[in-house]
Amino acid sequence: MFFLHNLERRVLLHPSYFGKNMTELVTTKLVKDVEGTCTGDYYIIAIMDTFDLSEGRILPGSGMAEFTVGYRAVVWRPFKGEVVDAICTSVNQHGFFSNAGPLSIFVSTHSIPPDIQYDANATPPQFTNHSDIVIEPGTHVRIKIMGLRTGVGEMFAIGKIDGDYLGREMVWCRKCTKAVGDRMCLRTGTAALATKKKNDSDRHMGNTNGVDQSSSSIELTST
Amino acid sequence: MGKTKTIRLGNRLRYPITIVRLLKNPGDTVKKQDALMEYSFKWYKEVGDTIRGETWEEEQTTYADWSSPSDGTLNAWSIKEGQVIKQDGPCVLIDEDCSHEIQFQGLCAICGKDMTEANWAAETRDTERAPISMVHDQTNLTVSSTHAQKSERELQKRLLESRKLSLVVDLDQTVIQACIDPTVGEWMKDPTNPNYDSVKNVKTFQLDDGPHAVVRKCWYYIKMRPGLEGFLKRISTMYELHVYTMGTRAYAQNVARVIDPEKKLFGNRVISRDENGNMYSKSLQRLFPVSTNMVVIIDDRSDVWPHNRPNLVKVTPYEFFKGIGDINASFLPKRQDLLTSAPSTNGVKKAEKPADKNAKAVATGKDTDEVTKEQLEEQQSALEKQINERPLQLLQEKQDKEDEEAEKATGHSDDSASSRSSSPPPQRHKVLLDDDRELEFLEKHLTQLHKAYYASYDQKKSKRTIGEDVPDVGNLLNNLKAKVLRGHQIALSGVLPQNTDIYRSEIGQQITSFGARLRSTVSKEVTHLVVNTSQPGTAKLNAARRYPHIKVVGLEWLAQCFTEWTSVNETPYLYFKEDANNVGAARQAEESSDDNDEDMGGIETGNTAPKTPQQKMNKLQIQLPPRGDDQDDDDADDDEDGLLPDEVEEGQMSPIDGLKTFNWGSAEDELAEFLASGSDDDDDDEDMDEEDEEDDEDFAPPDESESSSSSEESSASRKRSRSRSGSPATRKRKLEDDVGDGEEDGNNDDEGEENSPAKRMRRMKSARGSSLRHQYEAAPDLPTPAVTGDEDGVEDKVEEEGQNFTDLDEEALAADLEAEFAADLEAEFNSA
Repeated sequence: MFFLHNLERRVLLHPSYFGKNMTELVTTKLVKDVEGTCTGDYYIIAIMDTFDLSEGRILPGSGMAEFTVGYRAVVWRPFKGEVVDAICTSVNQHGFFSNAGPLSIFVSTHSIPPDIQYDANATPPQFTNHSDIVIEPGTHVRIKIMGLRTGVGEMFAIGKIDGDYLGREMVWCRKCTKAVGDRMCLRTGTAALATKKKNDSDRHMGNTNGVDQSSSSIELTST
Repeated sequence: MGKTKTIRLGNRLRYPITIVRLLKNPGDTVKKQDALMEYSFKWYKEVGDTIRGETWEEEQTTYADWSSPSDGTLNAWSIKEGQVIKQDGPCVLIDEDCSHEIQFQGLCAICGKDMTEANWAAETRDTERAPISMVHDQTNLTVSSTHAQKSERELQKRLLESRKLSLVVDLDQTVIQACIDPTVGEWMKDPTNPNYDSVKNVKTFQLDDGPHAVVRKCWYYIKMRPGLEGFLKRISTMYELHVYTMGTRAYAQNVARVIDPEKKLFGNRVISRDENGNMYSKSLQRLFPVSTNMVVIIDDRSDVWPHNRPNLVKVTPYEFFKGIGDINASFLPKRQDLLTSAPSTNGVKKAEKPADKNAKAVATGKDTDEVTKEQLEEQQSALEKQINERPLQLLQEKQDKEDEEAEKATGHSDDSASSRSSSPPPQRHKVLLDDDRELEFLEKHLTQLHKAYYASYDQKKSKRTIGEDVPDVGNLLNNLKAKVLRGHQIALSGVLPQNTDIYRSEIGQQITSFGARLRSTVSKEVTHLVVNTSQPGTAKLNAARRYPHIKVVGLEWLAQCFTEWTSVNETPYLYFKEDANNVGAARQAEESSDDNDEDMGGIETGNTAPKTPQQKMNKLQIQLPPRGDDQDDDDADDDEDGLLPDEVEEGQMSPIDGLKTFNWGSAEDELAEFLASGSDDDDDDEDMDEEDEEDDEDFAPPDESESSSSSEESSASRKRSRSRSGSPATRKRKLEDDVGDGEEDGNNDDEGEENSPAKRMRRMKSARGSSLRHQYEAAPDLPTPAVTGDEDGVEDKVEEEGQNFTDLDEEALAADLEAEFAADLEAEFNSA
């Protein structure tokens, strides 16, 4: 889930940067240092603005100036039970790996519907039900997070796709209630615009996906 | 979804214990750390007055709870209330919710629980339930042994259905050779470069790999082994292919893309050093943890597969970029196999250091991480060195220089040479030759193996004896290989350092794996004596001469047998055939040992039969110094004349077509004529000049053909023309040199500083060779050499010395000989 979060950080500035535009430099450095990192609990997606820039304090010994900056950032904290859109990155006989933005999620064969089987003879190897569903590297999948573990500066998750509305991301037509796939769509009104397809020409990889999602929720939170 | 697990009491309890009460009944849901039962145990406590020493022990009874180590439903108790239990044993059956068989980064991939939590109720951590990593591109994904078995059974079933086997393919020097020398890139862009044709098919990619600025974004040049595409295509119908390399992940993937652009052959079955989990060795168990019965490996090194030798088909290393070796070998121990170690100065030197360091680390117990870091740096610096020093360019420059010299030597007159010097020589020789045929043989072997495997499988199946286990491909491979040299009894000479256990050496193991018996000494049973032609051990060689049936062959014969999997004809590899041409053998041995000096112990190898003579020629070509010493020169003439026809014999079965077209008959006549008149050759300058002019005229046609022919041919003809005719100018200069410093060999080639002792040695050995000849002239099957010209006198003297020649006083002898030669020379000059 995305949040607007007020945070604070101490930024060190080298003496050679001391001058008129110090505030700007501090902000730039903050953005550079912080954006896209993982604190262990959440990912800092983007910094909205800074406030409360303290006066600089010269550190004895090194001569660096230390500023305490308060800033507001969009953070993403994945939760257990959250449903995320992810892109499959690699497939093996035990399941598949996918990335939801910066988060790496593994979905094991136990959490994949039984009709979707691993096919090692396909190139590249894939999970498929031998009709319309194919999960291979690059496929967009909707995953429910089952478990999360946080390390130092990284997070890992386990997901599942056996559940309603999970699995290969579906394509809805504007009006009808049927998903192009094997599942019924109950969210016609809201999802009428979602027209993502497997093998979409503009594949979002890595961080961009996370930012994509952030844009929608920023509207939610800021309004 | 889970399965029933028997849970033991554990050995942390104070036995004997008495079960007091069972707190949960079968069918109850239990959670981790829930108390399942109550028990009591008795123990003794020391009571009383410890100060006065009046203490006694009193029995105490303590009650305690026993907690569940896992989640699930209680299935059944195997203990009863009131029961006394003396030792650890099964206590309860629990149907587990999840058996945590697949784990990813410490998370159970099935239930999503964190496996890393330590818990007082359980004796082992849950992460230990899934210890096996068997996925190619991930190390974080681990599975339990039961799950591994299950997925391997599926794999086996799939392979059997499609009648395939698994083939693990090494990259570097097995199917490709990589280098980062920027020279290759320049050659590729320059159509006038002699190597342009060779590097035309080199593929490139850029890799951002490593922290150093020089190595960052450097271009990798990948040369595929000749015929690779077809090989992989045909092999992939019989084998499921995996890539297993010691390069980084990025490197492995890029190379896989080069050799398999459509990802049809390897798919995502690529494993690299990043996922291997071990920097020094490869293991099939990493990919096939349960059974390797259906897995074959092809690799150029057997020492990196310490546990999987039966499954390994060893391949001759592919050396296209000469002297580069394996760019990813820094981590590996130094190459052990003498047989096939190419003269890769770079590679060997590079590899040596980390191995030492590794050993040191083991000795001092140094942190492995630290060592790894050091080695990474080592590799980086090695790569940097390659970029900066451009070994290939150096090699080509050297080659060009030699070409130029050769041009001069064969040039008819001064003016033509000068006109040539203004423009670059029209025919430059290339250093990169692409004449490897290994894959043909390899394909044959793999096909054969596949056939044998499924024949055996079908047989087993028809007998219905096939249960869970399928035939073991390792056994079949051993059987196939064991037929190759069956009945041969092989002894080695000069191949391994003394005091090494030959049976455990790489080459020894290979010999025995091919079905031959290895003998430590030469006896009647021995059929082949394999000698290292560059440094033959005298004792065994002499012993072998006593048995005429023993075939004394060079190491190349062995290499060729290992490549072709047949007992190849020994004739081209016989050692004494050369010896029969007396000085020739010694000289040749000399040549290669000289090479060794240059190459830092690299050993001349012939990977394939056709390659051998040609390689020798290359060597000679590099070797050729303009001789200053006339005595020696004549000797050399003699031996090379003796040598050359041999080479041609070999050459006839080689792809060097140029040699065939060469008019040997006329050359032979030429030679005879020259030798007949050569008796007064050294005495008289003018006489010689006349001779030379004659020679030059006669040699004109071959010379012309040379300019348009391949490097081999021209090297051969150049050699002849140099040794026999030589332009007046060069000859004169040599003479001047001789006069200038009577004792010194006035040669000005590039091995100069090391040369004069080396040359002395050569002379010595030629002397030894001649003495040997006299000794063994009586031997029936050895062709007697043509004795020519005036050097008989010299030879006799030499022979006297040669008789009491031993290995120990070589130095002293060399000095003696030196003096004698000098005296001879002076006498001759004076008389002239």
